[in-house]
Amino acid sequence: MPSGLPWSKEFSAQIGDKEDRDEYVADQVRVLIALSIRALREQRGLSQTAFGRLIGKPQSVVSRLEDPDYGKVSVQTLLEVGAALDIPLMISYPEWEDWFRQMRRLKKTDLERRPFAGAEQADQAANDASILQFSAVARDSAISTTVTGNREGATMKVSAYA
Amino acid sequence: MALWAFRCYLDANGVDQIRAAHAEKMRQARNKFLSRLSALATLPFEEWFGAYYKELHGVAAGVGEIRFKADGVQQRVLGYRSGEREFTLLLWATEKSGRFVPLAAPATALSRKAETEQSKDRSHALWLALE
Repeated sequence: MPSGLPWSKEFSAQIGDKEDRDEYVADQVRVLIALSIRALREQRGLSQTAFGRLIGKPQSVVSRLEDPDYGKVSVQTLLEVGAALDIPLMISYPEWEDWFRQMRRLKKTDLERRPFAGAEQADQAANDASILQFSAVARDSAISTTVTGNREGATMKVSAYA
Repeated sequence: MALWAFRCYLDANGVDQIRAAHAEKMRQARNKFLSRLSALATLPFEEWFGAYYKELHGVAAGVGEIRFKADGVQQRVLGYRSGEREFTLLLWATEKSGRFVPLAAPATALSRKAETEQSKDRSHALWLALE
């Protein structure tokens, strides 16, 4: 795989034909939507029926939302799901590299999202920013740092070297 | 980063039966196959289940099916988990009115599974690049 690109020459050749590429992209996007809905539901420990009640839809709609072969999910429905869960929706046309990287992050833990938390979220964001800032200062001060973590928090290992 | 490696069944003449079936499929089925394997390759096995993969039971116990609909037909690619992070594809069938086409697909898949378990020469790495 060439450095800087998230796919190999062989993979690129496989979707080199425009119609092949269109089919591939369409299915990957449907898989992403279906897996996202399932991850959000399971994150909340809900059955399809209970999740349907939460978003104001029957179970059959939830089942379709989680079916990557359905292919007729509307933006309006996705907005309604987001509103019910108090999470934002983002729809964009990314660069190919960014798109490809996202399509390799499909695990449940990659797709779980937290609802809006107002001030608490702002505090967390500020905390994350200060950690990153300290990391940069430490790097410039001959201190080796390792920052690990997720949106729940971060831990940092700091060690000085001569 | 792929978590999984896929292998394909080779018949007694060394012909990759999954690749041969793939070559006969229409454009949507070929590309959905690539898309689904690309996605499954990144997921822990427990997250394959549901719309993407189902284990078969009864006389077909021991194999599972990668499931998707393409070109108006339910596609069923039968295979089994052949290692910690390895899945071997055995047979590409379809399903119509709740029945496999060909009808003997599960039995054939089980027979092929036994062949691949007896000899690693009866399978080889998937010819497609998944990333």
